[in-house]
Amino acid sequence: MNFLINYFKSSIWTFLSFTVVILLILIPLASFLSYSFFTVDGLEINHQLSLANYKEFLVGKIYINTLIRTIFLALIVMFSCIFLGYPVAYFLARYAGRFKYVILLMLIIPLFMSYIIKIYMMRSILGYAGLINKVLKMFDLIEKPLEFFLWNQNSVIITLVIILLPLIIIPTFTSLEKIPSNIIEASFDLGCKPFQAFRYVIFPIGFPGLVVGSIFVFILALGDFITPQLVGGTSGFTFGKIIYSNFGLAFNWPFGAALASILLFISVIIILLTNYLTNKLK
Amino acid sequence: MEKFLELTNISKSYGSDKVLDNINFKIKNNEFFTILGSSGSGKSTIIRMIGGFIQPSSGKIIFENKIINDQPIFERPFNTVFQDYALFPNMNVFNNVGFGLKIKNVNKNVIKEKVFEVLSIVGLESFANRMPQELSGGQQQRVALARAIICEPKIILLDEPLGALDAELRKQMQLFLKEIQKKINIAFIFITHDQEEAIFLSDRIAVLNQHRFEQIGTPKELYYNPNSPYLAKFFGECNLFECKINNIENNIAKLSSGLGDFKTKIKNNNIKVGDNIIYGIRPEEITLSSDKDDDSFKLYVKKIDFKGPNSILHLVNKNKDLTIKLQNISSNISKSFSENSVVNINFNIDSGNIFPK
Repeated sequence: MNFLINYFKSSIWTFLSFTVVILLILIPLASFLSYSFFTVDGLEINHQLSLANYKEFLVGKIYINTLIRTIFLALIVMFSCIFLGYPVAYFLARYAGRFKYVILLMLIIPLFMSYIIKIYMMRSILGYAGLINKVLKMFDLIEKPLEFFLWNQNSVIITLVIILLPLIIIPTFTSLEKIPSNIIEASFDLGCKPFQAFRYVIFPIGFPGLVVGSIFVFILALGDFITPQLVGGTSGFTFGKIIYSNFGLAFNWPFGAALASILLFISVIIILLTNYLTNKLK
Repeated sequence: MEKFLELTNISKSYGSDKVLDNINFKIKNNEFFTILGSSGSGKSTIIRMIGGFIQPSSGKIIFENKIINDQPIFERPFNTVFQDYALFPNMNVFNNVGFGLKIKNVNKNVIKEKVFEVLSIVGLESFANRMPQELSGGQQQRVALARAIICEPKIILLDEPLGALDAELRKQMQLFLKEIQKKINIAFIFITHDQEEAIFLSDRIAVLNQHRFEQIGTPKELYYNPNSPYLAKFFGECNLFECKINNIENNIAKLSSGLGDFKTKIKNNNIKVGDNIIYGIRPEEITLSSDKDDDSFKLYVKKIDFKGPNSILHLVNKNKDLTIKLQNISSNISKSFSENSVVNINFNIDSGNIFPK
């Protein structure tokens, strides 16, 4: 009898947690997927199942081109974040001593700020009359404001890198910081020069953290639509922005849902692929 | 006697904290040398200096007639076995062991051959593909040792390698270490806080106390001829009490003490008649006798600790201000005593130690 009561007690919690997952994640996801098989008639949604949306994605060249361009953009953002973020995380974990958590906290604080505010902040730095141009002009280095980082793809990349940088620093720092100092000492002891110790011991052990951070950055950059909207101008639009405009301006929910499903599918594939590759590298 | 590694006047302090104070010692080729000290005595600091992980504040480290103070870690011909093994978690046993050779760009086939040769020495051939996390403590220990041996260092530094193992495994690993050291003929510098372990394993022992070496010598020298009362107590039991020297004749001193008068051989020469000294004698050098003779004392039994086959006898003098402890008295003999029984004891004339006060 007691056994049965205990069994029910524990199964209630299991049941509740599954319900939450099903209600809040799986059902919206399923309805969203099913929307992608509907079509639109003027302002009415036609509930007849069809593959028309997916067909349009494949036929209208602009969608595939934008998708590829967006993947490239996300890759550029990801690698820029790695090149800028890894040295910071490495320095913090190995050399910052007792200040490391203070510095880390300062790097994390921007994460608590509103995303929109950060983008506007970037606008005020990058703009025609922004900080960079003003400073350059003050020192007479330029005659008229520089434009290559304004209202185009470059400004989207710069803004995304700066906003997403903490997301790569934190997991990388955590995995590097966990490496016991005697393992690094052991590598020197066995004849490693500093670079070899990094190449064969520190980097491989810290690698999973870097992968987690990179996936974060890549997925977020891939789906972002606010940054292109606010700093991207006309040439800097991304796949995320197309999805957004289908839900908003064009009022074509089914097509938006189809594009979003494709993006979701690609994200999942990429996560699985990196998972597989990192396991194989081990 | 070829000297090999030599540390001269080594001191180390962190700010105003002195960790090591004027350390001097030499190590011979193929020697099993143990540094024995309690935790916090600075013993790890010594081998971390030899390994190159920290720099001495002053003094010289000399290896084969060259000063190596400034030689970087990766150029020193020594390898360390760390206290908690420090195996690389991202490599399996094979790659851990082969790592030192891989860094030196040794041919892959040669590495493979050598790794299996060394793994067979430590008895882990069948574990080459395991990850370190899948091994027990003793196995990890052996991998760490194999990883050091394969580099053919001139000296292997072992930083309390048995500290994390349980008593049973510790005994096994002690035997294993002793055997392997003879087999591979590489000098070991071993660190421990366990006297028995040090005595069992070492060719020579250096005892570290209060940041300096108290004495360096073979286990037998340290046991039979300690040069301070601290050391006499450090290795096993020792009865220590104050005496006065009454007379010296033919290297035999006559001493008077609270127990009575007795004789002992003098080993160190700087002792004069009239000196107050501390006399030390190990329990096993004291004999019980039934009859009173010239050199024996009459004492009273204070307490008998029964320990199965053997017993510990606590004896006091008449004034009850001096106790003598006798260990390993056969229970067959001790059962004939009871509290306040009278016992006659003799000190072995050859084996008492005199320490200046």
